[in-house]
Amino acid sequence: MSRLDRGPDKKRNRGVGSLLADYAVPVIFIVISVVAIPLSDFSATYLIQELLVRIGRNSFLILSLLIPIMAGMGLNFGMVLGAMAGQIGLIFVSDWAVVGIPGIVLAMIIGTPVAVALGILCGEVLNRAKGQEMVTSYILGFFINGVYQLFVLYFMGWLIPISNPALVLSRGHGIRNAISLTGIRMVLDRLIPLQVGTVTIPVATYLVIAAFCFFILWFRKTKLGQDMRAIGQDMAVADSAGIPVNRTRVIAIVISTVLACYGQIIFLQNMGTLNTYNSHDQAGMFSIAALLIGGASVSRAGIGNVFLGVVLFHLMFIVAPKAGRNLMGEAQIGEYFRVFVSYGIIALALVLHAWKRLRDRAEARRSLRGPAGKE
Amino acid sequence: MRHFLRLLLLALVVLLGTWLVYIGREHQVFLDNKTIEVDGQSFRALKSVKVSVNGAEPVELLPRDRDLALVVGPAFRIRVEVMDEWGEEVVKTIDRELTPGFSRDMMLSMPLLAADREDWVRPSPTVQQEAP
Amino acid sequence: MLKKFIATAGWPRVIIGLFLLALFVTAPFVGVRISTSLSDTLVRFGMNGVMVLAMIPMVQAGCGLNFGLPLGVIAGLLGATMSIEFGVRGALGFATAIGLSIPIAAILGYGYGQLLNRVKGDEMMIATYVGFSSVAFMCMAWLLLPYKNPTMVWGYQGTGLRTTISVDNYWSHILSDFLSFKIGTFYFPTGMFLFFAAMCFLIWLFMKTKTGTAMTAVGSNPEFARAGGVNVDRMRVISVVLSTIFGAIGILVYEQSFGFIQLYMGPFYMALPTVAAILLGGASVNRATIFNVVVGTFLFQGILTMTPSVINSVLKTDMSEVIRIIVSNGMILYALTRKAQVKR
Repeated sequence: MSRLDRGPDKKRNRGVGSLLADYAVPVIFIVISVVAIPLSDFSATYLIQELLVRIGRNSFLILSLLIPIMAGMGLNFGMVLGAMAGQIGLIFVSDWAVVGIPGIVLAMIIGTPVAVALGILCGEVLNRAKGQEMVTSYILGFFINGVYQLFVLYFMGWLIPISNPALVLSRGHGIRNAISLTGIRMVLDRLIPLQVGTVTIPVATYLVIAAFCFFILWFRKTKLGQDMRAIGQDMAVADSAGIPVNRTRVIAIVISTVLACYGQIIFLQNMGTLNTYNSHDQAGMFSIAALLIGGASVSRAGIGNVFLGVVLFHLMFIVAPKAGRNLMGEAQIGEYFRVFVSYGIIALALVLHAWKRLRDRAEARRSLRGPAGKE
Repeated sequence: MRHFLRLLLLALVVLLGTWLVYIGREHQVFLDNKTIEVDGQSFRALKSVKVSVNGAEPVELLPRDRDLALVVGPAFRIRVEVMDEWGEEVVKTIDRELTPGFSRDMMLSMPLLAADREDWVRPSPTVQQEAP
Repeated sequence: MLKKFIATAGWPRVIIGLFLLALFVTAPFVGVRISTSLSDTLVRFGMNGVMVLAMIPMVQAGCGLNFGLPLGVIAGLLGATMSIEFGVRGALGFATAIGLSIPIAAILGYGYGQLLNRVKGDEMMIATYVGFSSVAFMCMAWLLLPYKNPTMVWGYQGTGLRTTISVDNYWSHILSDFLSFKIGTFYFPTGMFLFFAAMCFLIWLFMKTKTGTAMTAVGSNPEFARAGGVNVDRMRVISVVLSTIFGAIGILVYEQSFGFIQLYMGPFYMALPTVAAILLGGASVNRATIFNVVVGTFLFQGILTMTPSVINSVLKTDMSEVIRIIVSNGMILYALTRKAQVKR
């Protein structure tokens, strides 16, 4: 109901300025890409191939961020929890030498309970830090990373049996830094082979991603999805309307964490190597940066933002080091530029959002004051 | 009732997991053509033998050779062609089907197989090396 | 009595305090020398103290925990590298470094403060990413800035600063060795502690001034402060500038004791341990005192120095890194979740 009231109202208030603020980030990125692509000297087919691979690799992870945004919980920096759960699944699967599609499905089955447990934990913690969800989930990611390291680096091979000596550090316990996932490397990508010219398309991965998109579209229409949107609009109103706010928020985070777990498994099957102690860190940062680059904000994000973001972000990712070398004579500059842009873009998007929220609030105050003054 | 359904679901998931391990497990199969001593008897390495796993391109093993084949799933077929001394003509063809099931790795001894013994499937050498 | 103490101190602090106590008690039994570990703890306390102190102004003014500390650190690094570039050695060199970094920190802090004023309520998250992106930006700058001094520049290229620069011939241990003394294996960096005490005094003095009390008023109740005629935004900017300046001085103190300047991704994760330390000392997201800084830094650095030596000799594995991650982030998490509970 509040959505109906607010919808047109919001549109009316939107001036040119805020419209520009909404699309500032993607526009900046399109400009950067337009400048950097010719500088990098890459061929079109190479760029297309790389982009197709990276869309398949990253989209699922980024899509997992959408549901908490819908529930008004901001960017779920806690998605790294899900990524860790996925990695735990993959560690066991490589230990048991289960390969191919069964391996991937089994990794997901093992990862799911871990992700659910971590998601419930994350949701409960965030319910105690309402209004500070992002920074809390961000720190929670670090905290759980510590616990993850405790398990993987000390307990595995000691309390948790790991039979494959190739996975264990030479000291007898703890998992090695890099695990080669030869058994499940690109099995999903190559399940349905399709070659157009010299470009290979990972059809099966795209089908999975498409299914996920439909899931999100469907989920928005369900009772639970509607509840989440109501909570995202106004927690107090939702509460008085009888929606179990805390419970629904926990569910939103659990769904996101589980999906991030699957996303990380899909990501790693494409990469073919699991960096046990830092694959998950990068997953969180890059996914959030990509989503924001796609024009999403902290409170509003759609499937379109995901794909626009993944294309623009990774275009820069591919192009920046080469452009840096051709322009400055040093690839390192491009490398740092890439890091700078990923962090800077998150900062910029957060600032724009906070800015807009404050302005909206000030406007709301003014409009409340307006009629009172006339009387 | 609710609890029962949940338990049932859990059991189904565990069953699914087990089935996935069963069909998806990768086995390292060592194909071994070395002289081997069993029950006080000595079985000499074959002069030349061609081995094909799951109908793949056959590999030729000379005496003291050992090769590694990776197979996925609970069962696989193996065709062994024992050649004459010059490696030109097939003396004997043996077709077998093996079911490693949930077990991990194994070593297949060619001399024992050629002698029609039942114990030609040996534990994998990686397991033996780990023991001490 | 005991219950009340636990309630005021908070469970995590009690647990961590007991943990540290247990470490000190077990240390002699596993062959770790108390005197060395105590002096290590004190040295690290002195190294990090000023940076932790930098949290106070912003917390007091209601800007939250300064996750943007790397910005101050960058100002300090610029000051340090410039003092070396100019070839000023000894105490004068260190003074130059401080003198150069303060105006830089003030400018950066002013801009940062203006930014934070426009994003009230989201300061901490934005501060984190402002810190990260400024570190990444400086990575490019370190490569491009026209430094010439051969101790700092990559030898074969002649341009771009090294990742770590030794300050040995410039102002290494300039504070630490001032009036320092040794009793057996126990070393006490007197100068560094005197400097830290002076900085604490400065903060204390500032908090007693009219501006300081106004700042605290802004932090505890902005509406009330506004009604009382205090310019809230201005107070907040002042607090951010102060925090940034102290961050810059803090990293210089750290470097003179450490002996190296760490550039590039070095300052990246500086903020988290500092934030954790002050929280460990009993500060909350909107209230912090010098006492919190002293206690927190001592506890935190104590754990950092004691865990590797003690745990390693007991378990024969190095778990210190994992314990550091869990303790520091657990502490921050505790503080973040508590604040909201009190509010509701």
